[in-house]
Amino acid sequence: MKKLCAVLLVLPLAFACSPSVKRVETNLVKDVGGGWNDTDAQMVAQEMITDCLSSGWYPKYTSRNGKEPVVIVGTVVNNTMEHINTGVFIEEMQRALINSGKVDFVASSAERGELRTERLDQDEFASEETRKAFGKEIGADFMLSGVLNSVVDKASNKSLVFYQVNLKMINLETNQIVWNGQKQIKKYVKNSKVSW
Amino acid sequence: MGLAVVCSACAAPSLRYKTDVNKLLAQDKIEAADQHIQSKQKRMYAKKDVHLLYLDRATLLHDVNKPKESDFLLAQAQDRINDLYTKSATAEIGTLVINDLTTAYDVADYERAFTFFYRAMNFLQQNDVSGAAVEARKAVFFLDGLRGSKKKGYTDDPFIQYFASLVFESVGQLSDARISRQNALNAYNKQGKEMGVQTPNFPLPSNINDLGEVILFHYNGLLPLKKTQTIQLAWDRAMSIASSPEETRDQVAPEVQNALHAGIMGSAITISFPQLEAQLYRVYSSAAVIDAQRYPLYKVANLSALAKQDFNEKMPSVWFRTVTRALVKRIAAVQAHKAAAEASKDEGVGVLAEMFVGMLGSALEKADTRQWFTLPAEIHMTRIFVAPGKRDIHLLLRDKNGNIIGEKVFEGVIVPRGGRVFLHHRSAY
Repeated sequence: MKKLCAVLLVLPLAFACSPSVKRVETNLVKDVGGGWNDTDAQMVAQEMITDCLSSGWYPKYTSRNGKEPVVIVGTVVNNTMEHINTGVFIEEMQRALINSGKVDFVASSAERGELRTERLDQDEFASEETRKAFGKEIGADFMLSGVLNSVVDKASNKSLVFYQVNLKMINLETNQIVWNGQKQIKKYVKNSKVSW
Repeated sequence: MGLAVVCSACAAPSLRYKTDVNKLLAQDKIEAADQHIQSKQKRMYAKKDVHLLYLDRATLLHDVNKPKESDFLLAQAQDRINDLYTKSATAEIGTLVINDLTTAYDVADYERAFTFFYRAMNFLQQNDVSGAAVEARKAVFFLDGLRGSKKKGYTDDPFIQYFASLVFESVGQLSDARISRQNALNAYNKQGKEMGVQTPNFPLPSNINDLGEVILFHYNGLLPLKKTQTIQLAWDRAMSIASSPEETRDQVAPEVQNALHAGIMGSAITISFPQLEAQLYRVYSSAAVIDAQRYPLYKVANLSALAKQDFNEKMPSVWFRTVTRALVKRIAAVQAHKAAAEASKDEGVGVLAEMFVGMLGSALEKADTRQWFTLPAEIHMTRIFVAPGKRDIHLLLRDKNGNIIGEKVFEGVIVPRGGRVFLHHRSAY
């Protein structure tokens, strides 16, 4: 009996020491720390791209040019107080654009650098029939770029964080801004003051 | 037994440990200092103070140009500091009954501000100006909060405001840069003389767009260290023993010393409180040499003074808790005497019980000597505008008499046209 009691007393400690891991669905909405997270990135990208592709510039371009626009995603500047991986947000926007089927998409400048290096390599080592020629890249018609801002209001254990994402679709030839979108998210975060 | 379990988490870096680390720093063996911290971490840092371990290591990793590793620890430290906002009620009660080490280390405001500085510098070293800007924003937000909520003490940091303005300039946020610069100048005007620091004044050349800029920080010296001072007062024999238990050569643990003294003295009250001890270092000033031109560095931050200011600010509440604890423990000892004597109908047993409880109370009495001790005592800086290109930059370290006692060479520094290079060096001797 004494041994059983001792084991029962110690057992919870053994379980308490190991970390708890649980796999969750990638589309599960769960806010842990109160900061910008993957749900925010997905939600903003999806809504803004939908808004972008349904606005006036798109039918105007397609009727004038008889083809779908070629878009490239530029830089998204982080002006918030959090270390936000803007790469995740950019990937979400690219995904939303490609999956819309309404635009043609070309690689970003970083990706192009890698592709050009590969073409140089092919120039030297690949066979004549299979090597890819230079000077045949498709130039983008528009660049999508943006900025992520935040305003924080904090007092004691409460904080109100306001995120504002501004995106612009810019004509690469004329520098015209053909679309200017905005999405706002507000979060109220409350931390416990006391625990036992 | 409950007290023993609680106090197994009452570890704090001892003066001897901090001095050993500082000795290695003074010999420029910064990596060895970090390894020493790692080898002693289980003994010196309680689990609840893991953020202090991260901070102590992060500074050293930054000093040896390991910005990624340093930032990893600083990020964790910042997260932990934010989590610690939630105060444990039982731990707070413990400060009135056991000692001040029952609560997790409450990072001083100036220490918190410097976590932003070090993270920003780490990002700059990795050419991530955007990351540095995030830290600058956090720093400015934090200091704005202090200015709004505190009437005295550390209400702003002129150096960190100035540094933030440089970072904002680097990312083209000129409006934020102007505001931070103005806040910096206001803070230097208000506190500069008291802190013994100079307002940075680096005139910009007219052909600035054709030049590149080198911003050089020299982290100098050692922060004053907190050490324990103990006083034991015997009620009945008007005796007192004052000691700094860590300072004896006997290699006897301070808790044991306290307990022995209390036992010997009988009805004793033990109080332990922290004291600040200045650390000596020889480097007094520095100058950079580029292309045979000499540029002095100016003392723009005095962390020793900030540590002292924070210490003085906190001492009244330290004294309150110390005296309260002494009374609580004395009452407990008297009650133990009474209960034991009544139960055994033997006064001698009561005396023994009182001695035992008194000794236990004394053994548990520990001053809070925790601090982010690997910070430098002061920061000197200069801004130098030079023709773009690759060059060696020499940092000459001088003593109080102007003699050159050390030198650091930054080899092959590439200064871009219209751009900036941030450099830093630590001296602790």
